[in-house]
Formats: sequence, structure tokens, C-alpha cells
Amino acid sequence: MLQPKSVKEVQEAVNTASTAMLIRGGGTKTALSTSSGNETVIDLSNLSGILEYRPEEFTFTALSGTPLENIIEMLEENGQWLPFDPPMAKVGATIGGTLATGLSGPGRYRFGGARDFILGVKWISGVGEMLSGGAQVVKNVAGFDFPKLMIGSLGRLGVISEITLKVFPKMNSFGTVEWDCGGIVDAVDFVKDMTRTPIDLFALDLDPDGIVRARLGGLSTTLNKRLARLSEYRDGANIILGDGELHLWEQLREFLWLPNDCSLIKVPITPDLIPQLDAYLADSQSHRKYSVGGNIAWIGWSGTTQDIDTLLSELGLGGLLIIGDPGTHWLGTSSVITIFADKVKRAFDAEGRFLPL
Amino acid sequence: MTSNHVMGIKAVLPDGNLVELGGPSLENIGPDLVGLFVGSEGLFGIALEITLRLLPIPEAYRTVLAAYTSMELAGNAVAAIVASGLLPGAMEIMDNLTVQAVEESVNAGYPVDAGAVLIVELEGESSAVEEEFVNLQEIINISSAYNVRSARNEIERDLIWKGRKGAFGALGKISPAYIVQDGVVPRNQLGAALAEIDNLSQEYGVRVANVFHAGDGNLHPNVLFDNREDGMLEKAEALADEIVKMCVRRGGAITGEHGVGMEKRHLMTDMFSDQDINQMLKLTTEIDPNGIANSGKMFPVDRVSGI
Repeated sequence: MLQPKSVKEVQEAVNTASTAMLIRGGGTKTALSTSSGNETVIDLSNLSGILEYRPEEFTFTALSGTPLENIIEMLEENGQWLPFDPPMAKVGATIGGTLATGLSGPGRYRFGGARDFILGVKWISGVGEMLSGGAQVVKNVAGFDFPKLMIGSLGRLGVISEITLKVFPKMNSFGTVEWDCGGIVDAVDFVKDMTRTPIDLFALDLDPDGIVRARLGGLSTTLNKRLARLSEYRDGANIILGDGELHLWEQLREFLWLPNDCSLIKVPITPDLIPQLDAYLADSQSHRKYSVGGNIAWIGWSGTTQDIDTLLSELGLGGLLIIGDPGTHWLGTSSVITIFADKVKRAFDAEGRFLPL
Repeated sequence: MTSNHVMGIKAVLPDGNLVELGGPSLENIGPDLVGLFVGSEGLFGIALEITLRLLPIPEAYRTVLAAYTSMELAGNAVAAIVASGLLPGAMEIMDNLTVQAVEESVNAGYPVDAGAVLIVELEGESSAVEEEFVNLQEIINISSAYNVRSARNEIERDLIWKGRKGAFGALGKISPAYIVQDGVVPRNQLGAALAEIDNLSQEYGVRVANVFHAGDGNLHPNVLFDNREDGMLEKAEALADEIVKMCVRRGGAITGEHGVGMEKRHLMTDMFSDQDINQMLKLTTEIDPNGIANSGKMFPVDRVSGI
């Protein structure tokens, strides 16, 4: 395992690697960051540090191995944050690993995901060249949008070395309204209604047992009034505030509900398909959460990778294995490897120095 | 921005292959190919179908027009609004020349003597917007605006926007021709960038009317010239280029929303290194080996033929 401490050392590592390279950040996403064969692992956890932060500009640039926790803390001191709720910060996820995996938490619902916050990126190509895309300003359409392309690229198009993100002012208070809809079918219907509300929901999640949670954030002076209004959407509303509320969302963001012996799979979905998927998952007593207004299913799977792969295929869904055994990470009807993706891979890594997508 | 709302694209690639990128979910796995395709200026093929994320129409708006004696003061007001943590849906600034053109053309009731006019609009759910509006008013009140007008109803809101939306057309009233420039600077560089545009304008002896999205540092300096005069187009183009190069020097971008196209392809090298442009060209070569998809856009001509 190579552990470069500087961009120059990353370039050297790339140039000396004798087998296909696997790029690793904090190692929290085991299925994607663990070697399963004779890859050359490049561990970026020492490539860490904030290169520039201008609070008045609402942007920062960091080396890719910088832990999310450091970034969150730095922003917090200035009343700012990354509203897309980057997951797994508490267990050591890095900013580079988060973006390369394309993971966003529940807050993705209101202001967009990791893809919507990245402004600029620098990466080291398979031949050790330092390349860059995007800019450090919040609006820019010059050239191809390589920063977005790097989101979800798993470090297989190049070694992401530097990232510029925009940040937002942090809302000063939060509150959540919870309803028990009795079952997944009614919960999905209710979530679909809620996506059309003029109330600015910060997050909207649902549980398989029919619990729907809508989170509001904003000025403390109006929060109670807004929560009261939101409560009227359905009988039986339960308002949650304070530390309990913060903890509730933290455990979703950090996957604290996931048992240690389960793998974790991200499945992009639409609300209409949730009842069908959930029926299968209920049969196998799988742990699962539905987030972002019913647009992500997080599955805690205790069976074999092969079984969940088959199940997702039958439903016409695709998934990404995040925590689990390395080897097979695209699951189900993986629409990821398209002709277009192949062309992109060839243009970025013609020599196949990195693992295949 | 557009890209943030695009969820799926069905496209035909230059080799005739049909591809589906993204899909009906807000979330995705794999490299963000939708994000890559958006803004590729036709070089990757033709988008046939597009899936977009829609948002509910905001329940309430609060729109404020504030007049300042100088662009600098208006810029400071924007900085104060941004720093306060408010996230207005729009923050637009127009300079004196634009204000005069607008008043002559659409009569939106802007103070014609204003050095700069700032429009700020809050949007969202009623109770939140009302509370934010109180904060916004406090900021504007101490921002040395000499004339402040808040829209009391939809008609007054429309009138405030009528001026801004008619600004580009209105410039046609005060100049036979003009170039709409589009550049971006970091927000803390706005004041300095505007001062430099002013200097360049005087140096060239060519008028520049500024309209811009102040919240994100996206400038639209409009270079006004008389196309009937020999050499004026070239002079105006040279000034427009200088302005964009200045944006890049200040850490910004050559285009914030209008794209590169043919007009700005020669400026790509100001913003990107040779290697960065080569990487973009490698990608176009892979996707479109015969160069049949909208070729001539985005890249300097000599660079395309050189590969």
C-alpha cells in the first residue's frame, strides 16, 4: 500500500505502480476501498489539509484525503455547512472518498447532492499528469464539467487530489415532524403528496414500517409556526426538537441502524417502486431505509451479494455495494457501464492503469 | 443552474449509438455522466429526451428595489446580505447606464440618477419569507441605499422585474449594437472587477453597461458600440475579451451561463492549461472520432486540428 503525503508523491506513486491501482480514502466504504487481489492500493489518508477557505466567498478547497469531520468542524466555526449531509463523517470518511463514491445524506433532498456542490477538481491521471476541471467560483460553464464526472467515479478515472466545493450558511434551527402511516404503501403515497407541498422540506425520509419524517430548517423565530403548519398535513403528527432531533438524523447519516454483519447497498429508486422492493426485502428480513423523498433505498443485506444482485435485477433496479466484500460492486441492472461510460474511461485511462469502472 | 435540475438524458452519440444517462431518480450511481453531458455544447451528440426535476412554485415572494449612489455601495449591500445567511432567489445589480436605458424603454420607475440599482427577491413559504424579509430590510436600511421600494403586490413586483428583464432589449435604444459579455469573478472581487471594467471602458473609449447576478459573481458587461463605424466592432470585441481575461486573472471563469461556443473558444487557453484542454479533446476524439458533432465549438481551431 502506498501512502503519498503530497500531490507530488501521488504522481510518483502512480508512476511506480506495477499493477492496476485502487484508490482509497478513509477506508469506510470497504467494498470499494479494499483490495481483492493484487491491485496497488494508493491510500490518500495522508493527503490531507485545507488549501483555501474563504468564508465570505462560501467556498473551500481541500486535499482529497481530508477527513469530513475536519471540514465540518471548520465550516461550523463560521456558521456554514455542507447541506447534502455527507455520510459517515464520524467514522472517518474523507471528502475525496465521499465525492468519488457519490454519496449524499438525507439533506440532499432540499439543496441537491454532492454533485451540486462541487465546483472544481484536480486529479492525477494514470500517467502521472496533474489535470484539472471546473473553477473556484460558484458559477461556471466553461469547458466540460469534469468536476461532476468525478462524482461517483470511484477513483477509477484518475486519483482525485484536490476538490473545491461551495458551502451554505447553516440554518440556525431544525425540527422534524413524524407520522406513522401504518405501512409502506400509505407512507409512499403520503411522501408523494409531501413532495408537492409549498413548505420547504429540508429532508423527507420514510421507514419500512410506515414512519414518514419531514425535516425543516430555518430561522428559529418561525420554526414552530412552520412545524405546526406541517403537522396539519396528516393526523397523528409528532413533533421532534432538540438533541433528539439532531440524533435522529445523525443516525440516518451515519448508518447507525446498520448491523455490523450486514453489507450496505445504495439503490437509486423512485417512490412508486418502493412498495415492490420493500415486499422482497421484508421477506428476507433485511434492514432498510428510504431517503431523499423516496429516491434512495439504503439496504442492509445479510445474504450473499449474488442474491441481492439477482433481486435487484428482477426489479429492474441498479445498486452500488458500499460496505461489504470487494469484487463486485455494481449490482442489479447496472446501467452504469454504458457505451458512453466506456468511451469516457478510454479517454481518461486508455492504458487501464486504474481498475475498470 | 440548469445542470442541477437535469436527472436523465436520452441521447444519440455521434457514432449513432443511443444512450440513456441518469434516469427518473434524483440519485445515481456511477460517474455523473448526466452532469458531463450537460454543457457539452453539442460535442457529445444530440439530446433527444430530457428528464427534469421540478419544484413547487414558491408560495410567497418579497421583492425589494434599492438605489445606491455607486456600484460599490450596492456591491457592499450584496456582501452584507450574503454574509447574513439569507439565500435570496435573486440578487441583480444594474449600473447607471443600464438604468437610464431601462427607464427610457420600459419605464419601470427606477431612479434614473442612481449609480446602481439592486433588486433582491426572497422566495419560499410565506412565514419563512416574511421573517427573512424583516432581516433583509434591516440590512438594506443600514446599507446606505438612498431610495428603497418593496413590492406590495404582484403588480409592483412585476414592475420591478419588468426593468431588469427588459434591460438587454433596452440597451438597443441607447446603442446601435452591443456585445453581451458573460464572465464570473469570486464574489469578493466584484467591486474591484467593476472598477477595472470602468477603467477599461474609459481606456478604450467604449461604453459598457453592467447588469449582473450579484449573488454568484456573474457579470454581464454589455459593450456598446456603433457597428456602422469602421473598426468599432473589432474594438468592442477586444474590450469584451479584455474584460473576460480580467475575470480569469481574478480567479473567475470566462463564462458563467452563456457557454463558450465560437465566440469564446480562443479564450479557453486563458482559463485552462494545455494539458486540461488536451484531456477535453481526448474525450471528444473518443466520442466523436470524425468530428461531426457541432465541431468548431468550445476549442481553439488550431488546437482541434492539432490533435
